[in-house]
Amino acid sequence: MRNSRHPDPTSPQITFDSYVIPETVQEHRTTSSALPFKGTVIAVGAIASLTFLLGIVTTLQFVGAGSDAPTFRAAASGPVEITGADIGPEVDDLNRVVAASVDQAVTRGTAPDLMTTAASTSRAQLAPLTMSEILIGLSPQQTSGDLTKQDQTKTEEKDIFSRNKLRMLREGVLAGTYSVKTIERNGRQQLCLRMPNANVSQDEAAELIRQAAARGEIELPESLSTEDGNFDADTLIFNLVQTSLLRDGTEEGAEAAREMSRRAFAASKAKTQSDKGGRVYVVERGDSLAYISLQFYGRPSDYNRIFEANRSLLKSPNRIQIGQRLIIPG
Amino acid sequence: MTVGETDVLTFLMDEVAGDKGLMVDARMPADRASGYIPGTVSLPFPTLDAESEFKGDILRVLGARELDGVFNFSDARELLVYDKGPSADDAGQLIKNLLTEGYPREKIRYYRGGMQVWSVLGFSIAEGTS
Repeated sequence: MRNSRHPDPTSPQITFDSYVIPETVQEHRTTSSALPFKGTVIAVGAIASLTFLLGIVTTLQFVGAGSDAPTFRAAASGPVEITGADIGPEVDDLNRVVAASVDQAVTRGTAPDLMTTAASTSRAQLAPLTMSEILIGLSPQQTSGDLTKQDQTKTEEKDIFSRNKLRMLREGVLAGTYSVKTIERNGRQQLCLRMPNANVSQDEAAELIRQAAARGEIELPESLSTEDGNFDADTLIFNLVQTSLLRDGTEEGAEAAREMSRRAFAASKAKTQSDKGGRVYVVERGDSLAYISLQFYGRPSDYNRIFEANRSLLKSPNRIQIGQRLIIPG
Repeated sequence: MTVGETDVLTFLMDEVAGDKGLMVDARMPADRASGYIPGTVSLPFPTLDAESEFKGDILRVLGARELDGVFNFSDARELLVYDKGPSADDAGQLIKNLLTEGYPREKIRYYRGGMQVWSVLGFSIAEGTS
C-alpha cells in the first residue's frame, strides 16, 4: 500500500511510527480518572431524555383530555358524589338565563352590537356626576370658599337646621362632592351622608336635633325611632337633603336625589335571608324603619313599603325590635 | 383566592350543598359538554361581558340586589370559578368581568387546576349538557 502510493524510492517515506513520542508528552490513561466523568455524562443524558419523554407524555395526556380522549374522563368516581339535585332552584334560573344569553349574546361573538344601546345608558347617566366630582375634587378651594362665604353672610339664621346648612349639603350633593359611607356610630356601622368640609357641622346639627328631641322641643317622625328608643339623626339628614332635592322640581335635583339613592343602596351591607320566596331582614341594633328603607330602597321616605308589608308584626313605625324578621317587598 | 382540590371538595359539600355558594364553569357550553365537575353550573365568561344584555339577570340570579341600575352584593353568593385548567383563561376572564360589575373579591374563589388537573387526579366527571 505504501509502496504503491509512493513508488518513487528517492522521496522520503515518513510514517507516524517514524516519530518517537517522548514519555513526558504521552497521554496517560487511567481507569480511575476517566470513569466518573463519563458516568456523569451518561446520568445527565438519561435524566434529560427521561424528562423530555415525560413532558411529551404529559402534553399528550392534556391534549387528549381537552379533546375527546375517553381514557381520562372515564376515571374512577371520586370520594364525593354530588348530583345536580343538590343545587337549589335558583340554579335553574341561572341555567335558563345563561342558556338564553349563550343563544343570543355569546354566539354573536366579539363583534360589538351597535343596536343595543340600552345597557350603556345607565352608565352614561352616571358619567356626568362622576366627571364633575373629579373636577371639583381637583379644585376644592373655590367650592369651599363659596360655601363658607354664604355661611358667614347668613349667620343670623338661628334655626338648628338652618336653611344655610341644608343648602350646603344640598349643593354638595348636586355637585356630587359627597359620599355615602358606613361610619362608626355608637358601636355599630351606619350609612351616612358624608361631605368634605361639612361633616363637623353635620354632626353638630345631628347632636342638636337629638338634644331638642330629648327635651321634647321637636317632634320627630316615628319612622326615625331606632329599636332602642333613640333617634336616627343621620338618616334624618339624608332624608332632608334628598327630599329637598326632589321637591326642587328641576331635573338636576331629581337626578341628584336618585344618585343619592344609588350610592346608599350600593354601600349598604345589609343582608337578607330568603324565606317563602320573599326576602327577610332581621332587625339589628340601632336600626330605624327609615334606615332599613334607606338600605333596601335608597330612600328613607319609602319606609311605608316595609311598614305595610309587616303590619302583622308592627303596631307603629317606631315599634321595631331587635331580632324581628321583617319582610322586604321586592 | 386560588384554591386546591381539597378546598373544591369542601366548597361543594358546604357552600354548594348548603345553598350559599355556586361552583361555576367559565367555559363555553361546547367545551363543557365534553365533561364537567359534578355539582357545578355553567356560566360562560362572555355572558358577563360589558355589552352582554343578560348581565343584570345573571347578577340577580347570583344573589345581587338591584336598584336603578346599581347592584348591591351583600346577599350575593360565594363563587368558585374553574375552567379547562392552567392552559386556559376563561375563568380569568369571568373573574375579571365579575369584578368589573362590582362583585366583591372576597366572594370569588378560583380553582386553577380546572378540568385538566381534576381529571388527572381521577375525580369524578359528569358528561352531557347542563
